[in-house]
Amino acid sequence: MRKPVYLDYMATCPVDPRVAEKMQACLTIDGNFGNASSTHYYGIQASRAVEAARKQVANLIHAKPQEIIWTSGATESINIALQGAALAYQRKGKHIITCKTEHKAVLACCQALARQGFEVTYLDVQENGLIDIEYFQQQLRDDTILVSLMHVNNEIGVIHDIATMGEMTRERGIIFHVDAAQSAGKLALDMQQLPIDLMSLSGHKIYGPKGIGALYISHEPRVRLEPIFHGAGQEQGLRSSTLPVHQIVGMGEAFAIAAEEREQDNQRITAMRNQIWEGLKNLEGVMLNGDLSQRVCGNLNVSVSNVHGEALLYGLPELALSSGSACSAASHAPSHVIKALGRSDQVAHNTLRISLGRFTTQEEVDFTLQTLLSKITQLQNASPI
Amino acid sequence: MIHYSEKTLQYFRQLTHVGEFAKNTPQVYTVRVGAAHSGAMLQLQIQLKQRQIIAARFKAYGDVALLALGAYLAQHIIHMPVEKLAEISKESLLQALALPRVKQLAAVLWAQALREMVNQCQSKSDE
Repeated sequence: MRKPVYLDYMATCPVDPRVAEKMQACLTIDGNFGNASSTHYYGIQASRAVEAARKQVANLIHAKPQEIIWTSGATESINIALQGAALAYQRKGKHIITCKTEHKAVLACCQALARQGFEVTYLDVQENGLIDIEYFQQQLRDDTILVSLMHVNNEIGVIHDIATMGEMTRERGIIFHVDAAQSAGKLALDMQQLPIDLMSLSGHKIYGPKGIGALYISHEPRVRLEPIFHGAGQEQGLRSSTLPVHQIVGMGEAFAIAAEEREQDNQRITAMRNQIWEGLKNLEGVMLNGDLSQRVCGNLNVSVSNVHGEALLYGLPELALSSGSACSAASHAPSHVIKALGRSDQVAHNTLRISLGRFTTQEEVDFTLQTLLSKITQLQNASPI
Repeated sequence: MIHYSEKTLQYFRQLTHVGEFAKNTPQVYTVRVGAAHSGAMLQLQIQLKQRQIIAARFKAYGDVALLALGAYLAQHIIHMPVEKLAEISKESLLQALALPRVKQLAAVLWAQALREMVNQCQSKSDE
């Protein structure tokens, strides 16, 4: 049986074989399996591998290695950053700003902080999914202590102007956290230039393993975080736990490869993404969600009028896609991101996210387009609307 | 993602009996149920001959369960006396395709459509 074409790279990526090879060398008795906190030979070897990986991650974003701490993934990084910063700076104020189209990791974290007495402003986005800069500036207050925004939206792929919004927060001494899970390795990130205080990173969105992430914590200016985990004090006392050396080495290698190959990957993936959009856009009732020019390379998010996203997904067993609607089977709830663009419930139900990546081939793109066109037409014909 | 039964997926992927009868087809009855904004809407048409269903067509906008039930029903109600449609319940539809409870909205809508169809045929014959 031929496996479905994988077009869900924004959900997760397959591990790059070069990454897997490095990880395998950290597992068995003949490899680098030690506990990085141990003082003997095996521990020292493991610790060296961890520090080399830390440098690889730091290099991709032009940060200092000591500004990177390891976590279990972007969700944990976000929690350490938001809760840690809110608790550390609460004497200065209790106002936090985020955006309605953020990942649930940020939204749920902000809701938890609201239950602890913090006031949270959820920013609206424009019809193209981007935040209006003047509107953003108007929301900053004297008691605002923290702003958290994603760099690239995980559903519609739009790229927020974090440089400008970061300048505005820094002028006012507000801590700026960026969720870069979907942008690291795809867009240029230079911590020497960008006014970002905290940045969450993920391993598996960039051809590394799942279960590993990192948090960038600026040293200049220095950002204080109240620890939310307590233990043996690893990772500057912010994330106590035995370090998973094989995962860390994998993430480091994935970031090193991205630093080398990002531009050529982006060029190829953008061309294939555009080919699919060019093929779909003339079909009656197909609309793009999110700005096309301010968009990460592999993402397409479309709504197809009169065709439910779930029906389209199950009707395309040859393709591994996701419903951008994040439609909960139990609640039938349409995507909060698509709704925030001002789309109707019906349009939000009819959403499909296509995300391409490093291993997508031209042959797969041709097949995908042909399959999509045929299934969309069939389901539109079956609609009573 | 919902784990649908093989039977559901089979009806959904084959999707037979989709469409509408030609406008001048005699003895055709039509019901529409649901709303586009709620993510589920359907249309059922049956053709009768001496109170017996001789053909059925459907259209549906919604999830896999809604479309699969449409294909299942349109196939199974042929040769049935129209009054019998009222006996097809939400529960029997859920069972027929082994649909999970979270997908009962589709069965509710189709059961409603069948009841409305019986009422419509009844009131037209009374006229």
